[in-house]
Amino acid sequence: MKKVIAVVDLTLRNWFRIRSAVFFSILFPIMLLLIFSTVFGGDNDPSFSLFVQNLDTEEDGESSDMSKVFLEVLNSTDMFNISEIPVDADANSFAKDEIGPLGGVYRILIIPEGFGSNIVLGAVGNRISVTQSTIQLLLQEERSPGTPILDQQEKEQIAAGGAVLDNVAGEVALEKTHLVLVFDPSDTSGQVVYSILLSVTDSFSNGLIGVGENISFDRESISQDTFSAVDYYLPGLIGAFVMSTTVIGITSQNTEFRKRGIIKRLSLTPLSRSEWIIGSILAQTVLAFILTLMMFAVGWAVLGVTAVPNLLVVAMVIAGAIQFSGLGMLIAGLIKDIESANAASNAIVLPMMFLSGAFFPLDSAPEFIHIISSLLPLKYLIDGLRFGLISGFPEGALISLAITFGLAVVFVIIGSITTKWQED
Amino acid sequence: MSSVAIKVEGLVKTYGAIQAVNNISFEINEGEIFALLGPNGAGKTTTLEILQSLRKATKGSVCVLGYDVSNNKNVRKLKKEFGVLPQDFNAIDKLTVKENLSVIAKMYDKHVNLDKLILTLDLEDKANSKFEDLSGGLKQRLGIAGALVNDPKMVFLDEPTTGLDPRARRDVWRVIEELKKEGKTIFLTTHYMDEAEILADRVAIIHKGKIVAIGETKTLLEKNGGGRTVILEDVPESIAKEIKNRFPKATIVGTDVRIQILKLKEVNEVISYLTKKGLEQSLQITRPSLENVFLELTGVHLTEEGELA
Repeated sequence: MKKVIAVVDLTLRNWFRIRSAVFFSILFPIMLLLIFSTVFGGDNDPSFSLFVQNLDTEEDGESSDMSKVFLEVLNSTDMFNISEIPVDADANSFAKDEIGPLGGVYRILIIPEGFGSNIVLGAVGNRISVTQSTIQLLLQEERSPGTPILDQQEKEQIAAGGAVLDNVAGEVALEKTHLVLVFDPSDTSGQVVYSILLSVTDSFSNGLIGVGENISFDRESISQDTFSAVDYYLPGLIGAFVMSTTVIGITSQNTEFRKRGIIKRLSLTPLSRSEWIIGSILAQTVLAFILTLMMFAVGWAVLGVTAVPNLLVVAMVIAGAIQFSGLGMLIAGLIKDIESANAASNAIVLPMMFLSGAFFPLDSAPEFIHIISSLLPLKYLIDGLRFGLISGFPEGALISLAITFGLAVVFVIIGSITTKWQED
Repeated sequence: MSSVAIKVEGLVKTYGAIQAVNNISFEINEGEIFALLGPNGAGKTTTLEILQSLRKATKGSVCVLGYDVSNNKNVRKLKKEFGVLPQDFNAIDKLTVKENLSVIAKMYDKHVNLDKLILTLDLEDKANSKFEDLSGGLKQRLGIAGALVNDPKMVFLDEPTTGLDPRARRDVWRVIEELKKEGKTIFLTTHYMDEAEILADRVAIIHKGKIVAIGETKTLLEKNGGGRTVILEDVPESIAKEIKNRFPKATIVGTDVRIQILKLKEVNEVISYLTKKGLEQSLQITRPSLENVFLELTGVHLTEEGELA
């Protein structure tokens, strides 16, 4: 044990004195965490800026009740930062002036004149149509074969009433309300905003027709209220940098120490190969914990992170560090040259970061990306950390934990075989 | 009579079709400095690494300090009893002299007092300097300190002065002589003739994987040293050829001409000839050396870069 601790000690002392290692393993991930939290909204849910010009006004110049309700619905989704454009302003000029010359792209939703009355009339016409269909069913129904429910006189009275409804329906014939979304073709979020608006409008319209005058919209969000956006990025960043720190750390140490004869020198002492391997993995695990704690510390102190690591998260970090240390040993064992080994570890680490959904969700990625992602060990580390930290279902991390520990055993065995302690 | 520290019998090491060590046998006595002398690629380091159990022998038996090195259990015990300065020694760049020594020391159950060791190796002024900031000579002294950290019975020094300047070489020699005074057995590999001559009690000359001579340094010099050598430097090619014609034993190495003289009376003959040619000012006469022994036994000159035909 004394020798294992000596290996941990030498690794950590050496590591902390290599400025580039400290920068890329600790400071760089924290910088990335700060950048992500700034770019993607800090402690707010993600939202899109949207200008709205409401042309649907009453005679007194006030917005129609229906358009006000529609705007409230839009606001209640928390997906938009809405700025209103006055009725008499030129919408484009107003929006350009508001965002300024460096403001980037903008989007304008125009609510047309007659929006509210069209919705109301459409709803009435739809109700008449439904009522007519119901009456037709009633007229055709029989109590028993040959015995109709209604007698002839009742049928004639209902038919007369139906004719009156037909007349009313003709007068409130459905006329589609055309909302207009103006957006810049270069706006990469334009299509997303359009899709969200389409979905909100459908819900609004269906609600009117389905529920009648008592319209209510419940806010439904994929996020939990107690967490902020940065809580979602944190597990991905921790997973990604636990991987890069351990893989690159072990690869560069083993290749450099081997090339400079330091491993040979250590092998000439009573230190055994297994003690060297255990010590190296332990040192990387300590570094992974330091990195994780520092990211949480910055998250709690600066970014308003609310997630608190539990035992499952601790176990995931341990399993991840062991797993990727094994991968690092494997790379260093197969590729003897320092530069080539470092290039190989980067070539493995960087694509894995993106393909495992560490930085961006893969929901909209093609199916083959999902298949590739499911084959990558980092995915299970990140899934486990997310489950453990923010899902409210930490038990879900157990499967990811089991997979990660299983892969850790495999990588360490193969990595150990390739780590030579005696020459040929 | 001293007891045997190392016994090697019929040692063979092959890498595919290449035979790095070809059936060598020798013994080293306790308390002596034994030098394995030969050019680069002769098989010195391979032999040494087999003795240290870093490589497996293809054939033959090797016994170090009473342990058979082919037995893994023995190897763990043996490693506690020897110290090693590997060829091209390196330590961890970012750690200090004392930290690097401490790393090695922690690998042993018992170790010497590190401050005393640092003092012994004259490293006290650099104890807190990082390895990367040390000169070549200081690095090598740290390497020797690392080899002594466990107070070993036996010390392996693989090319201990290669790449050092003359002053640093002499410093290292002084340390090695001190180790001998302490009674440690030292196995030294070198391709420097002077180093082997000055330090070693016994020398084995290895060439192309075979030991071509072995014995006490003095005896080897007397037996195979080939008398004195007259050396002429910067000799024009035409004159070098004339000398070669006049003295067929002369050898031409670059622009130098060397004439081996076995009998003292031949010295006068050579000097008078060279004086007639006006070459007396560039003339040197050297005593018998291991270089002559090597030349005599292998037919090639040994230089710092290796052998030269």
